[in-house]
Amino acid sequence: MSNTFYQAFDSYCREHAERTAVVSKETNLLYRHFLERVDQQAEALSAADIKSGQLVGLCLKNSIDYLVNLYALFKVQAVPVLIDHSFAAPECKYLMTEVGLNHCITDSNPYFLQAPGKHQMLGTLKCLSQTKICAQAPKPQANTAFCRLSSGTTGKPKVMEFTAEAGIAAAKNWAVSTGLTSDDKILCLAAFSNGLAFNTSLMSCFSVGATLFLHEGMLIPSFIAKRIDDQKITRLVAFPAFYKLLSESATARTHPSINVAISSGASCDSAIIKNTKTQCGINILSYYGIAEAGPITFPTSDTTPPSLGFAVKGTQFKSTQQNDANVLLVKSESMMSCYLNFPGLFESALTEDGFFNTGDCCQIKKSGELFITGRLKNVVKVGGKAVDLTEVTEAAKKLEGVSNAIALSEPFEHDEIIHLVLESTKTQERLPVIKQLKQHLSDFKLPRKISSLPSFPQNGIGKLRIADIRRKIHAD
Amino acid sequence: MPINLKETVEKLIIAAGNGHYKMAELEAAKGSLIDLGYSSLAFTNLMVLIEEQLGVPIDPSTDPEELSSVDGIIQFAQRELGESV
Repeated sequence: MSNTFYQAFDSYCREHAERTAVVSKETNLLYRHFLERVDQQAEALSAADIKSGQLVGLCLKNSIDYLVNLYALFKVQAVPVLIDHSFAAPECKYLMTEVGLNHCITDSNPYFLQAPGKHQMLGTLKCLSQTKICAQAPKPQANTAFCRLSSGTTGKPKVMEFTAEAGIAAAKNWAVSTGLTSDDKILCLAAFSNGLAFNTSLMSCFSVGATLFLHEGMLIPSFIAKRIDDQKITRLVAFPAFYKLLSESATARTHPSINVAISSGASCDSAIIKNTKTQCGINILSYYGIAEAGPITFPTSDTTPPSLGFAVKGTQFKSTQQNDANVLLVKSESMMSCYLNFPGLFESALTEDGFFNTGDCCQIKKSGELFITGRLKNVVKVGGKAVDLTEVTEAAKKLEGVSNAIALSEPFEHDEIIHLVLESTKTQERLPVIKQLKQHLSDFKLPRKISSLPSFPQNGIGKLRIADIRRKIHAD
Repeated sequence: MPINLKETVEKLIIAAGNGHYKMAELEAAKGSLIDLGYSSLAFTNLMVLIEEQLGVPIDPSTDPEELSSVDGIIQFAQRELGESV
């Protein structure tokens, strides 16, 4: 394993030593102090027997501790695996026992706090270490620097491997393409394990000596609005749902300090964009990005929604015909190498010239401007987190008294929700269904709506007639 | 502060859910938003409603579990506004 990623981080900290790197509720951390804390933590990690080449889960809420441990892991050349802190027991257990995490550092995830293994404290955090790794557990590639997770269909998240070069390219290309400078003050409201935060607010921020403002705790729009003004935040990174709340709040007002507001890797609803501009004076910039390849586009002053803008530096995209649709293919310097736990799967989605099939339907203008027009893949974004509907469907099929199930995405206001339809001769009440689903699914994957039908319409070969199911549940 | 706080809080919970949760389901869950399967977006909407309609400011560092039930929200509101049960 190389420590190229740490070396880049070290150079940024030295270059910007006297500038403020991170601001939290408790402290303002200069870059040189940030580096000192990372180096000290690296010693603590080594003392806790965390070594080069080991897979180490980071399952924490956003905090300075998160950042310090992340870069300390890079220094000791371990491979951080960034885990959503709200993951439920089945996903966490899978990562620990079948993917074979050597250790997992957490603040409050119930599974990792209680799972079998060696438990020790790392400062105020807890570290779970496996004494014995399953012999069948996959090994990361020699040049893998870190791993992030993508949604899986069966409760098994796909573990994406990235090289240090890919991570550094993502940071630099984003900074250049979006005009990020050392004067920027970034308030990031997305979890660091999420691509929106990781690609737009961590290494990219540090690479130019900007300041990252942490938000810890609940997303209260009035509090955040005050913070934007008090701290003179210049760049806001948030999901569409938050911008909606901010603009509809009784205390909505303009925020003149903000010059860039980033929305998640999907087109933000035009009504939210318009309302946020009118009520808050904030122009939301929606970019297109995917977990496997990082940010792909960024809007310019010449583009208007639903355009997602033009290619970010270091990326290319084109389309191909598939199932009578124009499907988007992308290639970037920040692309993943492979899935640790699904060997060959990523490679099978690549064209001969190395473009990844995103499963998103698109229109690309002659100018190179990208528009997303639909989706072939069975994934919905809930609060910025990708949920594979197949996973929800499979979990629902295990419910008592249910003979079949299908999870559908449905537009609702300016968002998408999961509507679970159950085939059952009895009407299924919400509470017992939710209670059973929680045994298999993290909370953010739970369906918002649940309907029952006595039988599912099918065609002659037994395939569900989805359009008919949708008609029936809405007729009811 | 509304006279019938429990009823008001229950209505806010349902309103924040944008029609996806019924009062009968909330009652069956004995007021627990966790057992109801309340979404994180609905929860954030609820925080906004508590601030704006009950006049109770919420610090982001408040433990969300404290506000994850009807009773919890009532106790929080009364404590923050210095009112007795």
